[in-house]
Amino acid sequence: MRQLCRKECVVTLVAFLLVTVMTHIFPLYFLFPELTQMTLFGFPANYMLAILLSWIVMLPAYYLYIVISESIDREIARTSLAEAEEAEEAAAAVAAGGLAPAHGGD
Amino acid sequence: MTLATLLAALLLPASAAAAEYRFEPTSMLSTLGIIYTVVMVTLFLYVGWISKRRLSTSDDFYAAGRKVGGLSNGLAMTSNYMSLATFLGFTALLWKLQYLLMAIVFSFLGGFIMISIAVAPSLRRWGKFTSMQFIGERFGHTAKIISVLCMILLAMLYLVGQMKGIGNVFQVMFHIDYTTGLVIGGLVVTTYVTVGGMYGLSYNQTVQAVIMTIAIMLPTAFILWNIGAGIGSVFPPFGYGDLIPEMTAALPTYFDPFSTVNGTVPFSFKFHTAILFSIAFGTIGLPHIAMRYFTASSVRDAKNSTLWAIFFIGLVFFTTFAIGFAAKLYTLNQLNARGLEIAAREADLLVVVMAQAFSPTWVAALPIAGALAAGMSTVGGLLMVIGTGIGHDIYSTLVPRASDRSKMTMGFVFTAVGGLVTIVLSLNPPDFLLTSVIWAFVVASSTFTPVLILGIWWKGANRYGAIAGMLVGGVLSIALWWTKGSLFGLQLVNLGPLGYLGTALFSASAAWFTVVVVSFATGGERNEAILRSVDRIHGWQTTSPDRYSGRVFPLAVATVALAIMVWSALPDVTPSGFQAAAVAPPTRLAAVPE
Repeated sequence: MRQLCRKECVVTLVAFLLVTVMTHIFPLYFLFPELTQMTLFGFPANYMLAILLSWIVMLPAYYLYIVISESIDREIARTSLAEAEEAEEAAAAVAAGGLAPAHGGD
Repeated sequence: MTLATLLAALLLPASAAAAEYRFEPTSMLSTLGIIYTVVMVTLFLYVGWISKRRLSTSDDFYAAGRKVGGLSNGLAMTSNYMSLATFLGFTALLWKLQYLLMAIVFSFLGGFIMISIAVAPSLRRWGKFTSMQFIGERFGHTAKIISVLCMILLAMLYLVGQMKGIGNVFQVMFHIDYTTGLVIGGLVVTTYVTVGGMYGLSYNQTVQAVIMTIAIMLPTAFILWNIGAGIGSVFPPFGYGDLIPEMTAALPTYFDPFSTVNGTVPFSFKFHTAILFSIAFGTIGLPHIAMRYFTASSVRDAKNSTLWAIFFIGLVFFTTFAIGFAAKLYTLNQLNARGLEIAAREADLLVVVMAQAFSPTWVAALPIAGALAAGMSTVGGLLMVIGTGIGHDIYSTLVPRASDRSKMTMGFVFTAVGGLVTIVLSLNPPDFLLTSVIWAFVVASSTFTPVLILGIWWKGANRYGAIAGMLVGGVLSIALWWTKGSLFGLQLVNLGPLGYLGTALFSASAAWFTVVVVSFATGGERNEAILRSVDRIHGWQTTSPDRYSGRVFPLAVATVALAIMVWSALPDVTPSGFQAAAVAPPTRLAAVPE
């Protein structure tokens, strides 16, 4: 259960950071200024790379995020349902246990 | 019509005005623009009217019954997201600022996707209508009231700019007096949102997105074709590769990420980071953007809507890059070469200027309709936020036992009042309000965003932290704008070419830091019901103290925020090797508004 929660947090954090990088790639050009001298499909590489990452690559990447996050959501729903049932059974057992001495007392 | 004739048609009025280019729409363009607008407005009102039949509960009025499908919601998100500024202003700013504007647009798109990852799924599970309601239930009534007040400020900042733009389009394109245009446009959108509620707004925004996409792509394809972009013109976002050498020869710094304003102003690493803090993080906090997620039928549908929206937003954004590129190339090679300059007023209309010059009139009139649709869709979304914020959030706080019917009636009333007040404010708006959209991003980034994200992902965030964070962020947003980045004699932010946008680097970081530190200092959140609800918005049916309560996340946030505040106050470094362009082409636009 704790693992699942951690998995959800990690997936969200990684997705958030990836989106941040893919849509804010410009600081990268300060590290690799040679990118501004290259071309990609006839456009300056730094410009085309930004469009490709923030749009064309983003679409399948976001779809992948949907698939992964949905599977985690389903797992959470399944796990917490099982937990809820367990808790209910435990409560019922406690209730039954609590009643026994009373009955016994009769 | 040949290219030469088209150029002559464009230049003719300019020649008469000596060195300053003056745009005059032809009478045919104005007439067709009016016809398109009348048809479009009639359609919007009709859609609003038929949507009225579907309103029976407050859920219908405020969230369209949470039944809007993936594609439809994606289109509605697209038009809600893109305003009049996107449609007309981006081209003008690209013309002036080049890569800086591109960086802002990429960040704008990034913020939209970030909402859908970090905030929207949980808010959708919460099952309310606005982010202010979430803040209210998570952090209490005081936080809710502060957030609603922030929302009203944000919405008004945004709305006045949009309304003013709508009035200007009527004035310039149709030669209709500004006030009349403003009142017509304002009343139309207020009517269909008030009458049709979120249903009317959603269906209209879907239609508006289609209109906007066609209205920008078709004229751009004609323009690119006519200025020699070749076969690539059929897909404008990538259709101008053949013209790149021509642009590089005319303006070598057009694609340079290290400078702006025709290569005359250096643009540092810190400014790029400030864009992330203001634009992307600001978008996360904008209530009218988050609101569309509440209308989705499920969390999965909300994510699918985002996928569609990324596609359509990219299509329109990158087409505006193409038209901006064409406009810049045209002004450099044709207008500037003849000693002509474009004045600021004309730069805002570059899309229409280029369309009139390079496409048939029936196509050239499309951007007028598209611009009005863009303005109206954003105004509609913001009016809905105001109606919900006051008519539902505040009303239900004041009258906790209010019936569903009365909550819906209040929604009608306050949406209409919000529209009318905005029209009145826009009749003669103060100057600072016209550059206020930028301010709205900084305020949103410094108030809503930290509280929303920490409220969802950290159980320890409590009401004291949230209130202190929103107050610190809100006050700093105003103070740093007023003092141009300094406080108590210390220059906390170097505004540079970003202007006021740059202040978010400090104000937003301060808000994040405050929420964490004050929450820790006041013992975190102890209310069991709230802790349970945090589990619930992540999909858990049970509660556990182990979930979302670690210290690593808040401590990392506080440490990074503190480091960024210090970094913000340090002197900036000019990019190495930067040399200002020797001769900048003549421009007459103002720099980024502060």
